[in-house]
Amino acid sequence: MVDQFQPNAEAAGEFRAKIVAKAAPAEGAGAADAQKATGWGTIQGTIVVVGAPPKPGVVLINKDLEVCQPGGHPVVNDNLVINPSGGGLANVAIFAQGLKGENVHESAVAKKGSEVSFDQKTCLFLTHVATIQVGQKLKIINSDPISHNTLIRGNPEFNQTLSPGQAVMYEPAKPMTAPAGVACSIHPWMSAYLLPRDNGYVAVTNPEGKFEIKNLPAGINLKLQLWHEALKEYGGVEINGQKQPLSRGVLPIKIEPDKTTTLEIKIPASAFPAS
Amino acid sequence: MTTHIFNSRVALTLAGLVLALGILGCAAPPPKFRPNLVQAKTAGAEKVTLASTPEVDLPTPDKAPVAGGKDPNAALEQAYGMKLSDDAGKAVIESVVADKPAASAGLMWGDVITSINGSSISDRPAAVKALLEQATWGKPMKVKVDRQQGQQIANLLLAVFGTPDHPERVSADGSPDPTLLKSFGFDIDKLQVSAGRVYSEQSGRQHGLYRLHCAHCHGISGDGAGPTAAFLNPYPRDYRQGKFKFKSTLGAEKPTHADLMRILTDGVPGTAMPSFRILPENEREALVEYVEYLSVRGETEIKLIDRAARGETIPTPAELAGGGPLVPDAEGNVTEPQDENNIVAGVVYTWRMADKKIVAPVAPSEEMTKWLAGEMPKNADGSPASADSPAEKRRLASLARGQAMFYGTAANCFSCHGDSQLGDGQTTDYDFWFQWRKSLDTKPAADRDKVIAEFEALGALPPRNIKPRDLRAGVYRGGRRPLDIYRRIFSGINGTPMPAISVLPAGAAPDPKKGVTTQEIWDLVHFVKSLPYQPLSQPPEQLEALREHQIQ
Repeated sequence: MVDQFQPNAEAAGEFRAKIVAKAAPAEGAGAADAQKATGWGTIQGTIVVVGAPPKPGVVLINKDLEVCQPGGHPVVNDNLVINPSGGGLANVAIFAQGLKGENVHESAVAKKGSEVSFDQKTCLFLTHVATIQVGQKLKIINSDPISHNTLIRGNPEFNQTLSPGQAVMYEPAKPMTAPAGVACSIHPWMSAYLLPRDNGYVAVTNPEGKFEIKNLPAGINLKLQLWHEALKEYGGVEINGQKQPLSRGVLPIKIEPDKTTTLEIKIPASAFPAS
Repeated sequence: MTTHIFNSRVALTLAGLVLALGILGCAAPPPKFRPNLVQAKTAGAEKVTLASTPEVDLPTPDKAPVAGGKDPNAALEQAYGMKLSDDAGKAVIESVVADKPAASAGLMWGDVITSINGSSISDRPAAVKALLEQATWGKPMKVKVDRQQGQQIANLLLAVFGTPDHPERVSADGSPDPTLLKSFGFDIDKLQVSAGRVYSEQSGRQHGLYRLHCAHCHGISGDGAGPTAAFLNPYPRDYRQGKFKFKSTLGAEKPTHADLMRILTDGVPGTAMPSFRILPENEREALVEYVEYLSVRGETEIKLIDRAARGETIPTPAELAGGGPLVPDAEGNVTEPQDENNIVAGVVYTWRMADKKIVAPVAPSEEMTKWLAGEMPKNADGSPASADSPAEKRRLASLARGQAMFYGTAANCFSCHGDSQLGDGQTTDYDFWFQWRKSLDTKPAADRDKVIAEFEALGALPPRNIKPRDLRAGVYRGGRRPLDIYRRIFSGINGTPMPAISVLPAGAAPDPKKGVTTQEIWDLVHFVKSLPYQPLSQPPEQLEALREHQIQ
């Protein structure tokens, strides 16, 4: 297995020749032909899990029990939160790929330096999937009576101790194509995600599985990326009653201006591995 | 579980045998860089070889393209925004133009067209015929391609970084071309004396330094999984992520050249990494250069694998190696490459900027410097000062402040390092190199063991927890100077759970709710350095839950 795809010297030689020749990628009239929005529309919908999902595991709390496990109640793993009535799937991030310039509505550009709060209490991150735009500041807060450290595996990487009540600012440098993990080392079961993007076309489903993204560009081929931490394959996805397997979670869609497109997305429970 | 360890150790021993044969100069095949399959699996690639056969709907224009002439690429570009390569034997897509039909449909450079609308395509002429002559204009056509991104990544890395024997060429009989590596600031002479098989010239100059001194632990590709690695605790460093623990720079920045020289010269106490002071300085310099080369290569590979695993297109050869040369200006600053596709330049940029990110604290007072050096206060006649003397009281007060910080909320050391500083506060976490294991924590045990076996079959070492340092042992891996310990506390240890501390601006009043002052950090360093000399009166109690979670 470790000898998979050993390099081919001939092919590498050809690549080397291309590098030396500085063969630029075909430019073409790509920029002028790029699609332009004909208006703005809204996408909203619900993401629901169909079938019996795996039971969430109980997390072993091995530190600061008075704060992290008040009353001794078992703490359940929050990597797969499904609404018991209706099956709505929470904490799914839906974001538009590759939109820039004129295809971004002014309401989807956040004010530079504006703050997004990210709090932690009872040894849990209060926002499981947080979203932020590059240029904004993430205000990391510790509302517990004990110290935590917040480790963000993003760009730049961040790992700092926070005293009780302390707030620290974090500024993402670049947008990412998938959320970065956020953890606490002192309480290793704590886990959350941070998704820095370059525009506001991001939504995270609420506990009922509902989401809404406003003012998306209409009339052009949109690519909506779905992301959930426990979901790896999107082969059995059903959208508005029709089977529509998504390659790597990308949903191609085109919307009309001044209209609201509704997506009822159903994911089979078999797509989630046991947790 | 044991069979999997045996299998991986057999594989490692076989690799070691090949390595040994190579060192002895016997006719063994030249060593190769192992692809980072663990990263492919961690990045979520269902097939770690990153090979797939996607089928896309390629929209056709409403009417046939006008461009004629002998070369069909002009017509193809007009109709679909793609070009086929010159190889007549296969229908390989050479390039796609962004936002045009081929790119929007999801076709990428390097794809080999295998079928169109169900009929198989065997070569370029057949593809051209199907795309231009047999197309139903206005109706999309189903195009199936063979995408071997794993193979492409291996070829790209060979094109840019060469082989373990020859960094400057793509094969033993290829023509040497050091200009590319030179354009990124690498010293080719140093790389060449570190790379390759082990031998020495008549003058005594040693060649093959990396294979002679490093590869048996750190591996040929710097993956920290050489033949001896499985027997060591801690494991040797895996350079490929570009993460280094013990350095003088802030946070997740790269180490400076001086940092790596220090590790080679002093070794890492408490680990199997010895001091190489016995080597002449020019050999150590050559090895540092080669480690940087392996790290840049490894990080480039990881970034390419991550993109391919997410289904994104990987950069073309010119894009991958573009963005250079990174020439420092008068102040030593380098311009950051703006194009995300200039991956190698982006990684090299972080190495060049390391010197700007050094943690250089305000020096402690003269008195504190003496305490940190272990000098007890003395009277004017040279006799030790009594416990009531002001000097001794100040020293004890500094220790008391340090102890208060250790148990306080701003530094919060006790929560991981333990109530008795034995490193037993939190032992169930994993470092960066075993994040793949941490992500399995929530799975049922049977599933977890299965996935661990899959990772080990791909070349991963058996996972271990990361244990906080036992501060009573007096062994400091990153160096025992007060400055070293200051840096660990100030900016954390990159790649490990050890966090940075919030530091108040210079001259600010102490405020435990907001952070610590520089002097308070020196007090903490003072306390930490005194711990090996403090008696441990009775063993601390362990929580049962901690024992349950520990992996041997």
